[in-house]
Amino acid sequence: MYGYKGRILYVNLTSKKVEVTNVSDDFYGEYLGGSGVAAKIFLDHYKKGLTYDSEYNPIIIMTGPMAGTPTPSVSRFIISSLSPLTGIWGESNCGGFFASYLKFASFDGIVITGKSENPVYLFASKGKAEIRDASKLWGLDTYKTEEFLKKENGKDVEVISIGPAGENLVPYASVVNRRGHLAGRTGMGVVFGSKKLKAVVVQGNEPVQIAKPSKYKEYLKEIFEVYKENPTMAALKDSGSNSSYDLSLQTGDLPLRNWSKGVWPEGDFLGSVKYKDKILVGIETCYSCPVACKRVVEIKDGPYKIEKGPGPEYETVGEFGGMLQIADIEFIAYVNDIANRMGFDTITAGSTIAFLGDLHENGVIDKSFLHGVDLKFGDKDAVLQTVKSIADRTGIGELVSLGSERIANLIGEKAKDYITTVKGLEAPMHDPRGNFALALGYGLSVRGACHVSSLVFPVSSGFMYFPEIPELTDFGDPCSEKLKPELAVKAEDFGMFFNHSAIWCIFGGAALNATQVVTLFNLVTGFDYSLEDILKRGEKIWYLKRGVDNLFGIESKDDRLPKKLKTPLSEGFTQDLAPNDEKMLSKYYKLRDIDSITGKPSKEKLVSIGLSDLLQLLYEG
Amino acid sequence: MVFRDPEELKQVLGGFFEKVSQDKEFAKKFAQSKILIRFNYSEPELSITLDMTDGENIIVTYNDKEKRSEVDMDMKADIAHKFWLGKLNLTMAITRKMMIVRGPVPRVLAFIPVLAPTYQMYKDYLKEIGREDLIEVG
Repeated sequence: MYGYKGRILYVNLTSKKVEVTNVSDDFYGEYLGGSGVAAKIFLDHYKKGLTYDSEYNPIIIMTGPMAGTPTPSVSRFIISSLSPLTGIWGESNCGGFFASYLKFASFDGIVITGKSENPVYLFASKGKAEIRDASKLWGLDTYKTEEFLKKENGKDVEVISIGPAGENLVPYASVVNRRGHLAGRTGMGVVFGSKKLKAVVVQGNEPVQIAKPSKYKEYLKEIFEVYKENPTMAALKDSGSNSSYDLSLQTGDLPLRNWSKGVWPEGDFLGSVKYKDKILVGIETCYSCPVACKRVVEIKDGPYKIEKGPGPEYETVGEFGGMLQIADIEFIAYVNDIANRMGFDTITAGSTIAFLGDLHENGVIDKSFLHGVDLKFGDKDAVLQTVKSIADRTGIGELVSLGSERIANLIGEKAKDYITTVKGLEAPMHDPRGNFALALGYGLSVRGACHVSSLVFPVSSGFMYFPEIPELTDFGDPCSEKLKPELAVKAEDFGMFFNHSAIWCIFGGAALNATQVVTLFNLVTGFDYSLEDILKRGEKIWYLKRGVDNLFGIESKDDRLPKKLKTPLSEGFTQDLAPNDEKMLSKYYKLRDIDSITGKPSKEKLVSIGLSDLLQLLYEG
Repeated sequence: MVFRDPEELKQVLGGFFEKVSQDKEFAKKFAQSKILIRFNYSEPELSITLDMTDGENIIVTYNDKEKRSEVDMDMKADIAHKFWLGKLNLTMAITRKMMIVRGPVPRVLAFIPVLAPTYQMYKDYLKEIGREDLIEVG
């Protein structure tokens, strides 16, 4: 088999059974890889009453067909499961080196069910696997865990692990590779924790076979030239994901003070120049990526001293900077270090703290609700005290670890005006008030508010360009509703292939157009797909994931933005602007043949795209 | 086309850069980059060079072939006008090659934080020279 290894490892932690299943070309040809394959496996595991901590809730770790090849920016993996945070489809994807080594170990993916009584880790090497004791590791942070496992198994292994946040079931705990590569969102680390699975270690050296090696080699030369000439890649190499910070602040893309302000002059202290001046000491990359956008930082002295390690990404700078109004890049790097070690998502953590700060400032809650912490915007000490208590869930950490939606449910109706979630997931650091398409991007994202769940954000913000797909080329004024539903449909369909199943990085992949990515996919796998074939499969994968959400109770009312994100600001670049999501959704449902009340795809649509198994579950119980 | 000929482009956009260069405080912020940047406009054709190499001042020259630029930015004059009005999605313009950057991108990135006030300055300048009509054209 080309690209794929044709083998998925199935592990049951209750029975300790480990077995390998061979996968056919036909199956991969239909579901492509990554989260397309994961969604199908998840559906096959679905049972009524499934909860995140059910024994039979699977952790599905899947690579794409190009992981482990020299193809740039695509050696990534996804982890999916039922999300402990949102109660719907959970999914998070991650770069680093783990995906390639999983392929080198002779597996495309791993499906883990059951529950262990004692802490364990999984070791997979050369087509075999075993469950090993991890009692000594329980309680260690992700840095120490990885260090320990490399000492125990040799330096040629790759590790993903959880930290204390995952062990203590913080609903937004993440899974970490090489300290700074995180499957951060939707709480996949909690599912590890609930199964007492501390880590997965992979080792191997079996190369990935390429279907058309000589043509591929030639084409790859052209592709690397594309990377060399691309100014966006140069910006990412120079300043990482935070290269967009200054522009985001200026154009109203960066949310401020829990989405309530449009101007923040102090925010200039967090841009690429200050980042470089104050904390940057090096750069790192993922497997076979010429971009190298990962930052290495160090703070040698002062209250926020940290050893050399991964630096904060744009989203973390946005959350602990703009959202919490703290213009101190050293402070943010310090918080980032805690989150990576403890293993939790900085987007949900930052948004939840900002949400509480907003409620406190507006008198909806008082200090006693906050366990005595005087949480205010701009107060570094109070924010730090809060961050430090999340992983072990003590004091205010017990509250913040719930995430904003559960806290809002505790408070009641008054909290609803301050919340920033869609389907239970906190919105990331891009504001739909200056980019109306994003209202659909967030609203319809199958894992809850997310800017990379489809290509709506990367395309509408101008970061990506696919001239071969008309709906992704001409989509009107950014602040009008016109043509946005059409954009959303194609951005979802192509996104299901691009950054979900093939798993191109949203940053590194931005150098390429649709023809280039489809050509690379075909040369590696030996499939001979046209763009239309790819879009058709992407469409099927999107409906499959939407259907999974429907099985867990998602209806069309859940596709709306929260009030906070569509209340116009009285100042700044996006002053007086806000998207009308009702108007866009109504057109969108027609295009998708989705019922505007139940939010379910029609029976006819499901049959026409070959999802009769989903139809049965959705309509016939 | 927003500008009918190079003369009008020079008067409006060139005039704007000259005005910025006369604002000592602002010019200093801009010039901290110590960069020599050349904007090569088409439709109509004109190149404007901003020499900030002394770190204090902005020296504006036109169709200057003598000075060697560190960064060149090529674009239609309409795109430039839209940019200074604050109506252009810069990321999209670069991705779609409506704006081509030649030279070290990090040098351009360093400029972005000082740009924010210039959008309003451009609008004010257009009013000052009696060209409010151009504000809506962008």
